[in-house]
Amino acid sequence: MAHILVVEDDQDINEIICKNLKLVGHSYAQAFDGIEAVKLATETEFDLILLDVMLPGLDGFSVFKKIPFAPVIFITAKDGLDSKLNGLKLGADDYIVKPFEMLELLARAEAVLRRTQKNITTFCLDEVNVNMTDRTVKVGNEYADLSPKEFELLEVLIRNQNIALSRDKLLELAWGYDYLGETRTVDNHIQKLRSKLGWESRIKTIYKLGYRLEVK
Amino acid sequence: MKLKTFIAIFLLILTILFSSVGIVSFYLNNSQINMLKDKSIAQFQTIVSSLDRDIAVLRGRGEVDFYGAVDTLVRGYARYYGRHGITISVAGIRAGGEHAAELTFANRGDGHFILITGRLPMSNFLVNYSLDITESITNMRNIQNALLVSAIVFSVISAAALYVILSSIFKPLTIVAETSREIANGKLSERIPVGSKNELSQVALDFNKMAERVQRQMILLEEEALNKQQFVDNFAHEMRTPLTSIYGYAEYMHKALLDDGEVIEISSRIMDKASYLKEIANSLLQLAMLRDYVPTKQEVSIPHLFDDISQTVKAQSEDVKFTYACNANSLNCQEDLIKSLLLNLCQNAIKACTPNEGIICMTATENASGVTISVTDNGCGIPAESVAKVTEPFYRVDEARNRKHGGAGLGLALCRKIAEVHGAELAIKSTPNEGTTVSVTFTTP
Repeated sequence: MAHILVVEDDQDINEIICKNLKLVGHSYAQAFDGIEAVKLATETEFDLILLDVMLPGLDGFSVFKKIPFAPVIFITAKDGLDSKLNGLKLGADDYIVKPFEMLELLARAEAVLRRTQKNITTFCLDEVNVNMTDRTVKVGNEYADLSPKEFELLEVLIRNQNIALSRDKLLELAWGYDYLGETRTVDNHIQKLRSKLGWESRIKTIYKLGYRLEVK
Repeated sequence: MKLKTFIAIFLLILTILFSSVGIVSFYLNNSQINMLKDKSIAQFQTIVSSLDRDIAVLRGRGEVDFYGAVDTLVRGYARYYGRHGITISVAGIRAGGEHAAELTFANRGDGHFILITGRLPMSNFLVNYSLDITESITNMRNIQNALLVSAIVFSVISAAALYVILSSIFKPLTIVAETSREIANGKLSERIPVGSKNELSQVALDFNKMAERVQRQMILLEEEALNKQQFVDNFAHEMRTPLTSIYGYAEYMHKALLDDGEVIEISSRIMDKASYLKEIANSLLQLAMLRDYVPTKQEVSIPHLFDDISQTVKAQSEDVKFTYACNANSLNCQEDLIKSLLLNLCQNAIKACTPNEGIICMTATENASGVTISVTDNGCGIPAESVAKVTEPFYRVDEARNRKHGGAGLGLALCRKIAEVHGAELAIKSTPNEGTTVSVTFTTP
């Protein structure tokens, strides 16, 4: 559970980013221009700042120089190679190019949070306790016996909780890009997870889409 | 062309010059030779007749040593004539037989000579006469050489003169050729300098006029292309922003676990964005429709029109003060277009004003030249450098501020178009932080 500042002047984009962050369990604050961003970042400590480069008032790079240290992911326009380089040179942790898929943004945010160890390490739902540092799962007081792939799939589901993931996406995230398996593999692993954790109603099959871990 | 003319004329001059030099030398040579011939023949005859007479006298005297006496006599003659470059010798021959005088030219190692050999009429002697003509021949050759040299010098001078004359004749043509080449290479601003009045200055004037037209057209085309490109760029940007939002919301709806309230919220945001896009499309369609539009005009009562607009504006916005003053009766126009123009101007004015402080005033005045309708506000104004651009499609003074107000930047472009099809003029006067006046002047034809 991380506290994230979203700085983006387009109200809708800002809103969409925040909604997605909230969905996977982060808390957030919104800023719509550079000056507001500096003010918020100075008052509160954030685990991550998503910072648009093109901002009214004060541009993203100037904001970056003015705020106290915090991990930053720059959001740049499609054709701004200069601004990407500039951002990384200044010491940003990553950049993402507009327009982006939500899952991509979440993955990058997750990567930065893991590096700074601000990401979710424990997860509790119903009877299940997941410790991601030790890679152990307890159901009640008993340790559940999960294979490494099952655990990775579980981790992907937890990190993208409340978001429907297609079988292909799950393959990509849990098995890796180069895995040449079939989507049936995903179904099998999901079945096993459901029965081992007693999550038959938590891991929902979404018609025509894939699976979703529903936490709400 | 210039080179060809030069070569032709120069060859003609050379031909005339050298053929006349040739003819002159030929006649000079002939007459000199003939003169020498005549002179030598005359001398020979004089010598022959006096020698003949002297020999006859010697024979008559009955000299013992006749041949010795003849020899002495001849030597005396030779000494005398030797001073004039003439050599004489005598040889005895047998009597009888014809022996006519014979003239030949000889060119020996030591010079040119005329040789005449002839028989004395009364005695059996043959006289050999030889005249040295080396000097005359050399003189003649010198004269011929002088003629040739002067002909060569003259041809060089005439070549130079010809070149200068031809250059000055061909200069305007060269300038025309060079200028047209420059223009062909893309330097459209090149012109021919028009100097003195002659046959070519009219050509130059016409040429310049043509170049002027081409350049003007090119500038117009370039501007047009630039405007089009700008429009397309802006359009793409205007489309992309709401589409990105729509995609983002739709993606969220597609994947996220939503409750009923959120479904309503997100879908209504998507609908908002879609209707914004529809608005842009409608405005663009209207702009396209107005391009060659002829309005169906009728007399519209201005007080009535103002009443209408006032009601609409007041219903839309309660935090600005809206007043109007009408000093004109009627306007010949298409009512719905003018209404939409004035509403657009009023909405812009509302957007420019600070809530609860805004005062908007709509006025109509009439004078001899026509009716002027103005909308004045006390809002934020337009920076001087943007005033000329605000009527361009998609132009926004301040991206961030206007986006919040939801305009696509097509309103004023539409207003200008509506004014244009009515033959009216849209003028904007603005002072930043004090306010803006937009006036539309309808001139009666």
